[in-house]
Amino acid sequence: MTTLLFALIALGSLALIFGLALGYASIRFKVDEDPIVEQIDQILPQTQCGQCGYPGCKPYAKAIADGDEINKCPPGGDATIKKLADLLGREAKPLNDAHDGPDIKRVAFIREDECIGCTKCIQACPVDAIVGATRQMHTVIADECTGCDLCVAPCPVDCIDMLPVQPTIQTWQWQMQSIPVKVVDAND
Amino acid sequence: MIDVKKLLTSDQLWDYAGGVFPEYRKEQSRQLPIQPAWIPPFVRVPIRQHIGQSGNLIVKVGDHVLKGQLLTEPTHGMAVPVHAPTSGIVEAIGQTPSNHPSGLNEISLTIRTDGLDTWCERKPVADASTLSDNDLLQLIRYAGISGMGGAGFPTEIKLTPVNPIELLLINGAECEPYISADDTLMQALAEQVVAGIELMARLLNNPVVIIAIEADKPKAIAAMEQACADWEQVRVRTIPAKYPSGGERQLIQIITGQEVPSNGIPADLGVVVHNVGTAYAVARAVYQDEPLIARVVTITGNRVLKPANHWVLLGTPIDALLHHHGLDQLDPVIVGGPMMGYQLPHAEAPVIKTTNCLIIPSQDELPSADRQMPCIRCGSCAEACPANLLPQQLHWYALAEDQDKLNEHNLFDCIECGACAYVCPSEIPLVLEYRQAKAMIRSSRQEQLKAERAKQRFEARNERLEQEKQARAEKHKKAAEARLKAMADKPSSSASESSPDSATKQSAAVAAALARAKAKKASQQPQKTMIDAAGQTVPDNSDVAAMREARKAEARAKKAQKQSSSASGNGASDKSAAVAAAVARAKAKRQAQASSTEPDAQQPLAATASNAADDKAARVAAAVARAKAKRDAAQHSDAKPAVTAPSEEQPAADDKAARVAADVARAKAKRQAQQATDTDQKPQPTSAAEPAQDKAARIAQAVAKAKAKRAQQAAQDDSEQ
Repeated sequence: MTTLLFALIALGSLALIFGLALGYASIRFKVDEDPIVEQIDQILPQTQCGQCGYPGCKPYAKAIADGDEINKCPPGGDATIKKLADLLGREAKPLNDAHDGPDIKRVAFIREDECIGCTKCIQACPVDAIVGATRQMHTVIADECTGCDLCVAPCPVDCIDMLPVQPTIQTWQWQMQSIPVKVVDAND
Repeated sequence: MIDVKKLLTSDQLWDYAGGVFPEYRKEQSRQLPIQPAWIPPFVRVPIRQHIGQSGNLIVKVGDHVLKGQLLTEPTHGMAVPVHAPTSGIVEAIGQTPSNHPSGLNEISLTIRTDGLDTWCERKPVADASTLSDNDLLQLIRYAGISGMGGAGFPTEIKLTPVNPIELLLINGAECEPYISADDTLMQALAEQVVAGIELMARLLNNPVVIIAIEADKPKAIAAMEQACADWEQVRVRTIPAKYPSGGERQLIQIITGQEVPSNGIPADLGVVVHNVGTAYAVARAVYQDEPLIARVVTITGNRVLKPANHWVLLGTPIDALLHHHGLDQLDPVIVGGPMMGYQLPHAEAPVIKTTNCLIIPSQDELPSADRQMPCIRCGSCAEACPANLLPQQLHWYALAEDQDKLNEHNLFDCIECGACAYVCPSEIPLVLEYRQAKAMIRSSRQEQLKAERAKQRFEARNERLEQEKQARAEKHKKAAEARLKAMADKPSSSASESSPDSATKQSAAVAAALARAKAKKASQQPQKTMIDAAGQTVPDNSDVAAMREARKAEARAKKAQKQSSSASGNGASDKSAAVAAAVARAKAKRQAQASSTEPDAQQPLAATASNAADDKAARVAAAVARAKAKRDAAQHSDAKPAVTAPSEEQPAADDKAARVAADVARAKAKRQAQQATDTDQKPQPTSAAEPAQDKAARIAQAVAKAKAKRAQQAAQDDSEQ
């Protein structure tokens, strides 16, 4: 009988200790946010364009974590889908058919002599990449523009174009058919 | 660290793994003398000819420039200036084909030469010991000197290292086939090269100097040994001819036996490597005050009748240069050596600071490019690699675009020497694959950085908007409190006589104010969501979709407009067409906007209905106002075409006026559309600048307001009783 009692006491006290430890840990090491959301957000291109149907990249990351499709991000394209598929262990799908946007990078460009200075595009820009003031000409900081095209619709005089980014010598990707790297033959 | 004293006495040399022994083919071009410079009819000077940024342009089109005159000002650290290579007039500044494998355009100055070759004012320094180190460095910086060996790193930066330097290694290896520019320079101008080395050594606090020259250049070795015979700290070393011994890291390993760490630079070992051409340029800059405006270029290849080394003014167009030397058929031209060089996409590109060789090969000198076979995993490439990499693994990973694996296999340690591609029996263009893979990894890193920055900006913006919203709410709250207080004060003075009623009176006033505020807020909401749709912290997605839809509709309208205008095209003037297009665009936009605002308009109604339950009077007033405004809005939409029509009929005097008119018309149309929706939400008088047909709406608003006031009064009276 005493053996049983001891066993019960021992087990009970152990349960209590672990319970306390776990309880403490759950408070002390509480994770506010699902870490997977952060990881998904890292992969998304952060254009904040809303083409996925969510108001930004973070909300879409949350939606993906909650089970939404991973193929709704046109700016990211297939590369992003592939990375997401790898991360989440899901199957990579082709880009959602609803989007038919071109795959090339674009930046907004304001035709400055037509701008009337209404500031509507400034309010629309999710990354504050447009500078200007009321009744002053506006312009786009091309380096900060994510190419989300949210500024195009609000413009009352339609002076914003989305121009494809031209490659420079620094960004060139060595796309060429072939170069004669090897032109000398030691044996002839 | 390295025992540098031993290096001066010991005969030991080390070897690095790998390397290849291609046929050198230098004999044809290495004979003296170096041909003098030719002044072409025009030169094209790119403003950036090195690694780093360009300086700021300080001349403009039409300026007359003299030989050696500064064209750009180096304003920041990695900037190197460029100079006019001869006297002439700046004809153009703009995008012209670059001397780069991409052949993309870059900004350059086109100078029409006058043939006089007039120097600008020069201040040669006879005795360099009178100059301070800082003055000397500035002199080198303003002479536009960057590494002449290949990479083009700013020389001044390499001469002010962070670590103490114990060994200055002068690279005269010139290991690549065909090239003999450094060889002939050392043969002909050894004294000046050594003078430059002395200046460099002085700036580096007199380290031990080793001049490394490959064994196949006996004349250059003899000339250099003679030139530095009476200098103790220096030694000329003959190294075996093997490719790529002239690589910076390989050369350090041959001379010192030590390897530069993977992510390090030679300065980590206390070593700095400079090219002989750079040393010569330093001497010229100091003792002749001659900036870097010309260099030795080897022009060789089987199609060249007299292969030789030439002084070439920087900026000389390559096609003109070759034409001058009797070469007309210019395809292909290889810039640099056959191992690391590239085929020039546009022959009109200029000679720049790093151009050491031009090869114009005959047909049989070049293997055809399409003999590539699959990799057979023979491993020859791994044996040839001087950087101890595994080229075949890199080949597979590059094909698979596997960035992680490429980094794991140290792709970025690849010096792109081409030894692997040279030995490959399947003739796989390995180096091209590595270059593409490197570019891919670099651009994805860039994108990562950009995404990170975009995220930060997006979050900062949201935070700011949130703060502004709170500040606004705070302000409104304070204003409301102030109003309440004022109201409470007023009745209390009168209520002091009839005290029992004052409490109920006050609460009634509060209730009325709250109701008013609520009604106002509810009626303002839709307009706000419409304007802010895209910019709000949590924008309405239906709005975004609607906007996209609107743009599509607009594009359709534009297209239709274009078609109709091109179809009619019977002499209708440009101006009226532009006006018509603007009107069409505005119409399309308005339509889309109307459709997008309709669902929003429903929201406030419901909201008001539920919110205002606690205040009957306010609800009634709002309903009346809404109904009236709606009717007015209907009237407006009828009136709209009438306003836009006149602008269509009267074409403006000139193009600009037409554009302004179009803008105004568009803005007007848009504003009206907005007002049509505004009026049923905002029961308060708007600005006096409104068009005449708004009068009805204003009257309606006034009536609504009056009614609301009366109703409120009634409510107050009710509660008083």
